[in-house]
Amino acid sequence: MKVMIVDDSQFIHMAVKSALVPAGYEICGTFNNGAEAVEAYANLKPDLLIMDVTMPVMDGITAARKILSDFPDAKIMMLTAMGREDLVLEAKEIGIKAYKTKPFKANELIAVVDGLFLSCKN
Amino acid sequence: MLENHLKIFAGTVSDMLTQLGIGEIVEGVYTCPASVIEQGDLLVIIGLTRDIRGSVIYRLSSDLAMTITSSMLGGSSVNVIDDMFKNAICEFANMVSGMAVSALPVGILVDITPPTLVIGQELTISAGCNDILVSKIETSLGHLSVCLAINKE
Repeated sequence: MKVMIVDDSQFIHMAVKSALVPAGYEICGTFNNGAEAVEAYANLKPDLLIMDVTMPVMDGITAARKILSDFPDAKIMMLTAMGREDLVLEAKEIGIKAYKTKPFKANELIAVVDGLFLSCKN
Repeated sequence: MLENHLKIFAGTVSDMLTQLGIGEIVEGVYTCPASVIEQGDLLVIIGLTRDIRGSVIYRLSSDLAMTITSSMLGGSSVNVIDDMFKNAICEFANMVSGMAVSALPVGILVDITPPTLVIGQELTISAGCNDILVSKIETSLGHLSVCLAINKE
């Protein structure tokens, strides 16, 4: 399964990679903001896009809206320090499949990602 | 009001430091900035928007920051200020701030901006806000100041 990571922190790129690669996932690209994600998504067509909310240039919610308008079946998971209920609701309303707050442990992230693919398969 | 908000930010920092294994944490008194914000050669500034407008500023020594980032990197040794160190300490501030604004009382919606990192000796802060309060958190490895600077309408 190909996973694309979008976060303005290189530290998070590394942490997500360190968690998911040993679990069998392939990281097909890492990007620093929502605008880069929108541009890259069509070429990479990842099985899952993991994206931060607060980023420079374009935030994750705006980027997710744009991607989902062109690719309604896109699997997007928000990974953010912001656990505000209104953001979680907004994410669900626009079709984001999962929402995980930082900080995270590797096994927690794997569980959410595995669960997401499992629920989409069923 | 400001003191209550600051308590949430300082409490979140303490919780995160505990999670990272940095023990002996004592949350400090809430004071005006001049007496506590002068020490520490590293600042991370995060903007606050929507219902609270201003900044939260974290000030600490690079030694304490290296201990924090080492723990965040799973215990890897961190001895130099490189890009990964800068990224990790900014992410620490980002995570703390995100958790803190999510813990504010119901009805207060606050967005945070991406972090800005400033490194240097004898840094002076001018937050440009009219309501400023600082909490000093003591750890066995040095202290960390959390400054909340808010613009009142």
